[in-house]
Amino acid sequence: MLQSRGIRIASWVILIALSLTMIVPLINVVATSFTSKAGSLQPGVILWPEPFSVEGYFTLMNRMRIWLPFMNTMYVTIVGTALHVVLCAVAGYALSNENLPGRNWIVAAILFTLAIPTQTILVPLFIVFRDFGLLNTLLSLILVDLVTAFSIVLMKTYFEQVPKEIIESATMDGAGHLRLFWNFYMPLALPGVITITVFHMVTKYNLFIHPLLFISDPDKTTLQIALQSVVGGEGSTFTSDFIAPNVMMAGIVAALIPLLIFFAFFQRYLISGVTAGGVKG
Amino acid sequence: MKSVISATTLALLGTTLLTTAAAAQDLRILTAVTGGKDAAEHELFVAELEEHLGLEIEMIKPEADYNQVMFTSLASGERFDLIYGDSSMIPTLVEQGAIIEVSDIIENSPVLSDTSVIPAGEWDLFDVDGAIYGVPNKFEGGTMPTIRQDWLEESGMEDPDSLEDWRAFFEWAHENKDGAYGLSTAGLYDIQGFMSAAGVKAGYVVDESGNRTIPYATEAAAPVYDWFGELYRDGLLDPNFATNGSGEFRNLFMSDRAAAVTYWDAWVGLFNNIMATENPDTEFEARGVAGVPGPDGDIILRRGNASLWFIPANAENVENAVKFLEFWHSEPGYVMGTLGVEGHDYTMEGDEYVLTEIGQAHSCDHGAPRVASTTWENPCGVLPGVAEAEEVIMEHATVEYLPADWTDAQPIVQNYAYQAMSGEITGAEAVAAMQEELRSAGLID
Amino acid sequence: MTATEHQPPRLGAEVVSKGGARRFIAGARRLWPYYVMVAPALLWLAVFLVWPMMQGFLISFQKFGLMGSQGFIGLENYQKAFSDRTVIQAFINTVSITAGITIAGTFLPIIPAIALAEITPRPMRQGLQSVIYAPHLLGWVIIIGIWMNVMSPIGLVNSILQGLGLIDNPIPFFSHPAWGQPLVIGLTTWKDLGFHALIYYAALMTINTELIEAAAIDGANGLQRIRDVVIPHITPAIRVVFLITLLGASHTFDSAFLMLNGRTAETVRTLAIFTYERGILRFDLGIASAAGVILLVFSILLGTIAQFLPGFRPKKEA
Repeated sequence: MLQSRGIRIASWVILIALSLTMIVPLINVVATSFTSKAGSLQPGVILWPEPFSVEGYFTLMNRMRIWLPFMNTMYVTIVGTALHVVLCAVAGYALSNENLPGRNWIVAAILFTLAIPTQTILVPLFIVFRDFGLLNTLLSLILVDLVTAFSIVLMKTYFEQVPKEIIESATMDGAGHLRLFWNFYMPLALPGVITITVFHMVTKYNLFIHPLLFISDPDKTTLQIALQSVVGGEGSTFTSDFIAPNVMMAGIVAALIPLLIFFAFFQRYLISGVTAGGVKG
Repeated sequence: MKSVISATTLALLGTTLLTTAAAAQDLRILTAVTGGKDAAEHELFVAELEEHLGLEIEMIKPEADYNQVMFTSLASGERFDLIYGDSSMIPTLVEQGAIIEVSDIIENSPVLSDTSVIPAGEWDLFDVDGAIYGVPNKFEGGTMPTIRQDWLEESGMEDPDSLEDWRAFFEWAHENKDGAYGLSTAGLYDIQGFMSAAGVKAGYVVDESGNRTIPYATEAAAPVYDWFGELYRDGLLDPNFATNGSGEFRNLFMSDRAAAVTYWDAWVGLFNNIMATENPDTEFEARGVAGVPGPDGDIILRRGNASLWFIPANAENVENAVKFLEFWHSEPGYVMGTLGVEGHDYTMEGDEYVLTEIGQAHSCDHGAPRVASTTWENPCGVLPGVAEAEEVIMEHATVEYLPADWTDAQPIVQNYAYQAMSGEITGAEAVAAMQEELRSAGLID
Repeated sequence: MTATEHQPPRLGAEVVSKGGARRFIAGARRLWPYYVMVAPALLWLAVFLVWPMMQGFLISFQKFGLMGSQGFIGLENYQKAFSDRTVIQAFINTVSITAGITIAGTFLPIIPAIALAEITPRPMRQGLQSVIYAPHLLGWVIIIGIWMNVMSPIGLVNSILQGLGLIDNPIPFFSHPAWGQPLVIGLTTWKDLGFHALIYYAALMTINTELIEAAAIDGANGLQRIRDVVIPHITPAIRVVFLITLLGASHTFDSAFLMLNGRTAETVRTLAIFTYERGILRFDLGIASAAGVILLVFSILLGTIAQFLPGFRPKKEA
């Protein structure tokens, strides 16, 4: 892009060096998960399963039911993310119209919510969810973090980058709101949509404190919580339950796989969405 | 603006009124460790409990962050009839009027007042000037130095009886066992067995004239910090001691990387059991040993905080809560707290309890691996080494006195203790710095 | 974030000016569907964020424990909070951790973003992008667990440093107060690096390559092209990331909490951790809420000040 040899070489060096710091921990997790119990107890950084064993995964499967929590998590993640993207993209689109009276005030109000320290409002939040009768429902988890200032502002920024000349000429050609939105705004804002989709999926998928507080019905438990019930005893001083590192790491890998699949899938769309936009830009 | 605030107040009042919309259960319990080991088993556990008690029961068992869940739900007006906690919570809970005194309830209960069911000594662990605020969930052990008995025998040494003996054993292990650490531990908590050499007790001690001292921060403790510092310098102390969780040192111990750890008496048996299950021919043998005798010949070990059941002040079904407690301290309750759920964790073959594969994995622990009663014989048997370890604990271990100030004092003690233990400063410098800081913060007299 | 991008103001933009009220209403009437579009998001924010915060604000004036409110006590919680030495230290820690995370977390990811845009072939690019993004998928417990292992006195990093003869004794990264903040800042930046780079990368993809070519013809070298064309192009994205990082960093909790031990407590205890320790672990929501309100005010101040930082406001085009 920059047509500079020096920068290109530097780019490779930087990216590979960075990747190493990210790959080593991942390899460590995966390798430990495929190590036998005794092997995984050894101190130091395990980068290769020695001796190889899948007993960590067997223990995990034996000790938790996977399917129901997984489906619950999928439901919450997919529905929640879809709603999140629609709400935030639409709000961002509306706020990108700089002629909108009061726009700056609305944006300021939205940004204000970023300053709220969420840890300290858990009790009032719990009361809100209870008074709406949402405790012990998956809907409560869909509603958690459903709208974020981050996503709205990001979408607004993307919509603002759409060249006004294109819109004006299209309007003169008689394009309506919907057509403008789909044919002109969406393609250019697609990278933004993908970004907030991926981001929110990760948030929803990793929800922890909220399901812990809101859900007590075992049938509505989520994957993260179910995994925690197996691997969580580890840190506790009182436990007489013994979970070796290979089982813990197997739990982590099990939780990561769906995310990695998501990510690989969306990555393709990210790239194609971006190039589609790039052609016009 | 004014109207916004008053509207908020109104609505807040409204929500406080609404909060009492109680569920139709006969008994609502918030539990931490007691119950099923996972969501599915917990459902079965509650079902069996309902059958035994003839009540409709809701038993909420958060998988993590128990304090957070307990606080959030209670503070937002949720009502429970029983909550799980430990004795360190009592001062705060009593101060806030959150739990009721149960002295009378115990007296009036033929089960709970029976000292063969709950030994008198157990109540003494957590009474507040004669008032009782909780009912034990299980027998509470203590922490102690736990050594590789097979290594000790191999070295031909006697049981270590002084800091020098310990060091000699650690050196032997370091040289003969592939550079294994002598000792691995997790922070300050469990080094009591060695601090015992200086005759100092963890937590606060109040003398006759009412002066508060922290023995770990006195000159007497300095030589022991120096001893640790030398272990650290010579590679005999696990250098990760400051950041270790219990998992880390357990793993080192079970993988021949440490000759001794400081841990719960019950774990002596678990160590032996886990290693024997893994490899029946293993030579591994863990043994809990007493700490180092102090100047006056006394050994000091640490008894754990009692895990307790509390009845919240806003409980609606106190009788049912008592019913549960009496059940919990009866034979079928013992079976549930140890073995678990019939048909899931174990099956009955005649009079025999036979563990299923799941039951084996749960190693006879569903909240009360050792029951308070000393007369009931646990069908799981006692794991090898536990009986001896428990005897040592019962003989030497006492509960620490940890008033609210300890929360502020502990980080100060810990900070300098760690520095001394990693040889950055001398023990004398460490205790001097502790003294100064504690005194200026008004934490000791 | 009052970003009125490189466009001359048009109808409705200057509503605050004199005679604005009528134009405001006229504009609002004409553009009413836009309000309908923002309404659901605003409603959610009001109910699930602002409303609980207002209640938290009220709680900060009450004695509020396990059994709920025990009555209003005026400013006592604030007095307690401000007279506590720990709070002052936590505040200082919060400021320096926030500064560190914001600066590193906003600007460092620009480098891998540009690097990603530079390299071919595309599958390689995608692969590296995924790898760099990976830590963002991991929870803090895992990340701290892994790095504590890698950077322990007997871990990989110390072994390498000792092997190279750079140090004699292992560095106690996680049990030395001096390392506390650098590690919180470093690991947070590392965790979010791929995510922020992704945002920048997406913005980079819409760059007009002709501009770069023109700059190249004008004789600009690679770094100049980055400075003159690339950075201005992604400035809106930088602004977003900056603000998000700033406010996120001021609420730093998980990372620091997991690294907190007897030795590092003094340097890594943030205000958010303080609220948790006092509120949840000691069952005193009154003080926790007061500390929460202090944190809220601090964050709002930060966000406001950020608006006036040089280069943060979009330049008005001449």
